[in-house]
This record gives sequence, C-alpha cells and structure tokens, in this order.
Amino acid sequence: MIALALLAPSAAACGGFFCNNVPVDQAGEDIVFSVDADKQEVTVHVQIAYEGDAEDFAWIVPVPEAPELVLSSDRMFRELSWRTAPQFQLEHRERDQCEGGINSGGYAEVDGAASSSTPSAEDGVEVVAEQRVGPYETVVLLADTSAELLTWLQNNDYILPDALDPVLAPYVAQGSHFVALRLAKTDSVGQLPPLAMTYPGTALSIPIQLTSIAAADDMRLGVYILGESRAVPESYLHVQVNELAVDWFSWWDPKWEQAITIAANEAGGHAFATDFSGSSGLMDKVLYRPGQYDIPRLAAAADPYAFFDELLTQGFVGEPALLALFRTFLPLPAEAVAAGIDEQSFYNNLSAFSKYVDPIPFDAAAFAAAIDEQIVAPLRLAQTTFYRYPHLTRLTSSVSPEEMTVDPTFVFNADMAQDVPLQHNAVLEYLCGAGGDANTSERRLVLSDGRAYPLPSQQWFWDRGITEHEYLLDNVTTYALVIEATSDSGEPELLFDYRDEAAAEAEALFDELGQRACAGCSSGTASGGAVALLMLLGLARRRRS
Amino acid sequence: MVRALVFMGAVAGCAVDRVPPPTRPCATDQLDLEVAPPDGDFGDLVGDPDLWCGHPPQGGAPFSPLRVRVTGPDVFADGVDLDMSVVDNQTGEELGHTALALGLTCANVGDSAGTWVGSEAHLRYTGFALDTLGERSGTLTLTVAPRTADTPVVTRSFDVALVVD
Repeated sequence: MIALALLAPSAAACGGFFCNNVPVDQAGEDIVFSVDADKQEVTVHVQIAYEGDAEDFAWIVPVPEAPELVLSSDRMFRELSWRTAPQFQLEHRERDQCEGGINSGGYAEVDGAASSSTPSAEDGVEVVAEQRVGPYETVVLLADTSAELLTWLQNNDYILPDALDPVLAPYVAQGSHFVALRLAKTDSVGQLPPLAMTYPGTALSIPIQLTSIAAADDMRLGVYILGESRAVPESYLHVQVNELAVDWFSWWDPKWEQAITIAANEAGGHAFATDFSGSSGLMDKVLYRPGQYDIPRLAAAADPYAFFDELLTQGFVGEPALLALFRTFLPLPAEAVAAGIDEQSFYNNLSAFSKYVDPIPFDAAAFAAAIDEQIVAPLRLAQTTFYRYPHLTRLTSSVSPEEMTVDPTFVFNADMAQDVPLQHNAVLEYLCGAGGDANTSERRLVLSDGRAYPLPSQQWFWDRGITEHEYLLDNVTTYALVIEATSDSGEPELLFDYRDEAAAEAEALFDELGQRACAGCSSGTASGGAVALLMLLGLARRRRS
Repeated sequence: MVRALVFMGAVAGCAVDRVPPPTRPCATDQLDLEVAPPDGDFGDLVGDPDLWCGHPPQGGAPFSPLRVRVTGPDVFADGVDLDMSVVDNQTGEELGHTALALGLTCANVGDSAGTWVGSEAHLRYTGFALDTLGERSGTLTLTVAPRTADTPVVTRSFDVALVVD
C-alpha cells in the first residue's frame, strides 16, 4: 500500500498560463504569491500540470523584470489546498426532546543545475538568460512585438500556435520580459514540479488573458497571497457568498466552489471570494523540518532496493516528482515493457523484477542529489516562505475564457477585518415537541447570520428522493449576498448588498408557513396546516423546477 | 404548479405568495456612461482632466485602469462590449485603444446605486513607452454596447491630460 502511494499515477491535466500547441482546456489554476516589502520583491509559485509528450510542452508567461527561477513544491500546493479549504459544520440540535435522538451532525470539507548564458539578440528578441531548472529548459526573453516573440519561440522549437499572437499583444512593450519553458529533451514527463519566479516589484497580477486560449468554462482560479496583512482583489470585485447556497447536508461536497462560480457571475464575471484570511501559522512545520531528510544516507544506498527502502523510511511518500526521477535514474527496461510490465508495477515492487533491475547501472549519489534539488530544496524554500510572512489569504474565483479580458490584480489592505475563518457553522433544529419523532418532525436551518429557513422532515425528503440542498436552493434569490470593490486601504465600497432583503425573505417564509410562533413554543409542534403547507410548498417547488 | 398552489391555499386557509425575484432597480430608459480614474471617483474627469497611466503589474504596454458605470435598460445585465480610446488632441494620433467584454451588475447601495457597474477595465497604450505619454492631452472616448442586443449604444468623451508618475 505504501509503495503504491509512493508512485501514484499522475493526473492528466494541462496547467500553467499556457501549455502546448493543442490548447487543452484547463480546469483550474493555483498560484501562490508572496511580497517582500523590504526587498521590493515578488515571488510567484505556479503549478504546472501537464501530461503528454515532452516535445509538445511549451509554456510562456510575461513578467515585469527578469526573474530568478527555482523549482517550487507540489506538496505546498496540496497542503495549502486542504488546510485552507472552507469547512462547513452543521450542528443538529433538538428543540425539546426527540424520541430516539437525532442523527449526528453532517460535516463536509472542500478541498479541497542552473546556468546563465551570455545574452544575445536575434530578430528583435533578446535572450536575457537561459537556464536549466529541474526538468525545464528556461529562457528569459526581451521582445518589442508579439510577432517577433512568437516567431523566435517557434523558430527555437517552442511549439506554440499562431493564435497566441493577439493574446500576447497586451503584454508586449519596450522592455517586456517573458519566461518561456520547455522540457529538456532527455526527460520523460512525469508530474511536473511547480516553478517559482522572483522579480523586483510589489504589485501582484495574473496575466489571465494568456490563459483564455486554453481554459475550460468557469475555470477555477485559486490564489494564495502571503504578506504582512490581508490581501484583496483590486481590479476584480469581491463577493460574500450566500451561505444558504452551501450544501450543509453533504459529507463530501458542500458545493462551495459552485456557489462562488455563480456569485462571481452575478458580479459580472470578475470577482473573487475570500476562502480564508488569517495566520500563515497553519503551515508551520508542514512542509519541512530540519533533519527530516537525510540525503547522504540516500546517496550511500548500495543498490536500488536499499535506495527505495530508504525513500520509504524518510517519508518521500506521494511525491509526484519522484516518478520523473525514477524514469531518469532507473529507466524501465525495454525488456520489461515487452514482457507487459507497466511502470507503476515495476517501480513499486522492484525486488519482484530483479532480473530487469540488476543490469541497470545505478548511481545512488546522483539520484539522491536530484531528490535534494527537485524535492527537498523546494520544500525547504516553501516552508521558509511561510515562516517569513505572517498572513495568508486564499481567494477563489471562477472565470470563463470569454471573461478573461481583464487581468486580476491584488493589493494588501490592513484596514479591513483581517480574519476570515475557515469554519462556517449552521444549526439544524428539530421541532420535535416533547417526544416527537426526529425523522418525521419539521426542522429549520439557522445560518450564522441568523437567517432561519423552515424544512420539512427528514422522512419527507426520503419519500420524495430529493435533498435538503435542492429544496433550499429554491430560496436562494442571489448567490452573492454582497458585492463590493476593495482597494489597498479603508473599508470596501459596497455596490450590492442583499443581506437585509435575504433576512426579510427568510422571515416572510416563516410568516407564510405559520411556523414562527411554533418555533418559540416550549413543547408544541407545528400546526397540522403548517406541516401540510410546508410539504405541499416543497412539492410545488419541485414541479416548478 | 398552479393546481398545487390552489390546494395549498385551501389547506392553510390563506394564499401563499412566493417571494418575488429581486427586481433590478437599475433598468431605466435613461442612458449614461460615466468613468472613474484609478483611485478617483465617478465624475472626477469632468472637473479635473488628469488621467494616470503607468506600467501594469505584469509588464507590457502602459495602461490606465478605469472603472465605468452605465445607466440604461435591463439588457446591460447581460454585459457590454466596451471600447476605450485616447486620441492626442494636437496630432490626432491614437495613443491607446482597447476593446473588451465586461460583465455588469446592478448596484443597489452607495454612490453607484441604480447603475450598472463592473470590475476595472484596463486601457492599454500599446506601442508607446510610458515616458512619451506624460503631459500629452487627448480625448478619452468610451463606448458601450450591449452584448446581446444591437441597441442602445452609449458613447461619452472626456478631455484628459495623461499623468505619468
């Protein structure tokens, strides 16, 4: 089991700001920014998800200045994704006593050897630097026109389509820098490691217009920003999502991201929601602890089997970059392939295939050095980043290609409330009366802002085969409860505020159903008429939808 | 559905009016297009022509981030095609031009209440170095057209003086 986890197959996806010649619809993009105000430096970590032939891979991104390039950590993205995912806790509470008790509360969680060359100029494009970074051959270019830039890249075997020209154009000006990546010819493609770029400046921006050529509808955009205070969108609007749109009853998917998608669309398509804002301490010691890895011990392994065991012992479990390194340092022999042995089986059980393994020349020291460079060093760098910056903000949006017309920019705002907690709570009250049955009693959902919504009994939903979430969505008038413009100082400028109306709607619903008085009773149940009304109203809603 | 509602009324002894969908108070026959410079308010350009332009965070052609708000009918809820340009008043040269699609939402509070508002729009001065733009005066022209209809098209022009930090 552990061995299988060590070399899990990589996911098929194409990521980064742009991928290859055949645009692959990109379903999501995650980016980590940090800003060193003292050094006036921005570091951006970008996850690059790609599966395909190495020669088909090309990636390009504009940067304001020539950057320093290093490998980043895939594990950082995974850990951030689940550690900063909003959590939705539904507390089940009896009003009076329910016979036999009630079911426990539902709980759902969203994921969630460098060298520079001498600069040269050719056909309007200047090569500022060339560098090998892990599996990437990188080049930093200066270009005056998008046509010259694209021609240079195509002439140098970067397989990029002509359609890229117009979307590159806004980023081209005198002195514009571009980072272009391709995979080293000798490397096989495993899961590609993220890349970190550090350049002078303090402004944060995502060149989303480049992504428009290869993005899926409603592409999820996850942005993590590290700094001294909370970060907010500047060029995009900010939304507060209506928690009634959350599926409080699902253990596995609270449908938070879907709610953000619709809320962002209500805001015109250019908006972010804040998933989390608070201390970066939640990443303490998560990625790297001094002494955690012993590279010399790996380098001293006598053979591939001992090396593999040492990898397991030191906890290199689930590192996607390992597969690519195994392909380089212990390539699957053609004889094994001919015998029908697949890569995953081979690497996860080397001792079973010793007749293929033993003849392969094995350099434990070189393999260990590559692990140090491509896995350990990025983890150490990422961990240091979280120690350096006290505040972490996670913003999520959803953008379709036709909406990628304005680049999102972000700023820090120390004046707004700094904390946006991960935890969201609601209460499900069972209106059982004294000794009523929990399954057949009416209920009501109370959100953290005090809005309360009547719900038929659990039995009612079982009988009809619909969910509470589907039922409650009929009361969601707007997914964005608040739409506001945020900036680098002061409170947000409110543009749309539906909080009072939403509260009034919830109250009106109770008035209509005659439940308000009942909910305040010490032991009574709802009237029979109200129960029937509640049930029939739900039935009518289902027919309407 | 109608039959069900009637039945409900009979059971409960009263009719149930569902909460109506929110109306869009922005829908109006009047037409207007306003623009706010970066860090400024709507209307600022009318009294003060200074329009900041600078380097965008990601590099590339100089830009002026602008906010627009539109007064008009409900069709603007489907978004607009926004065309922005700055033409040098003395030479007639087009200094900047950007056309883009922009989604709008109906503001119901604050200074923009009753108008259609969106995110920033970035006007690019492609082909010009930032230091060649300073102190040039021109005419900023903005045009919005609904994305799902031919009309109404709203155009406004403003005298601007480009200011470079």
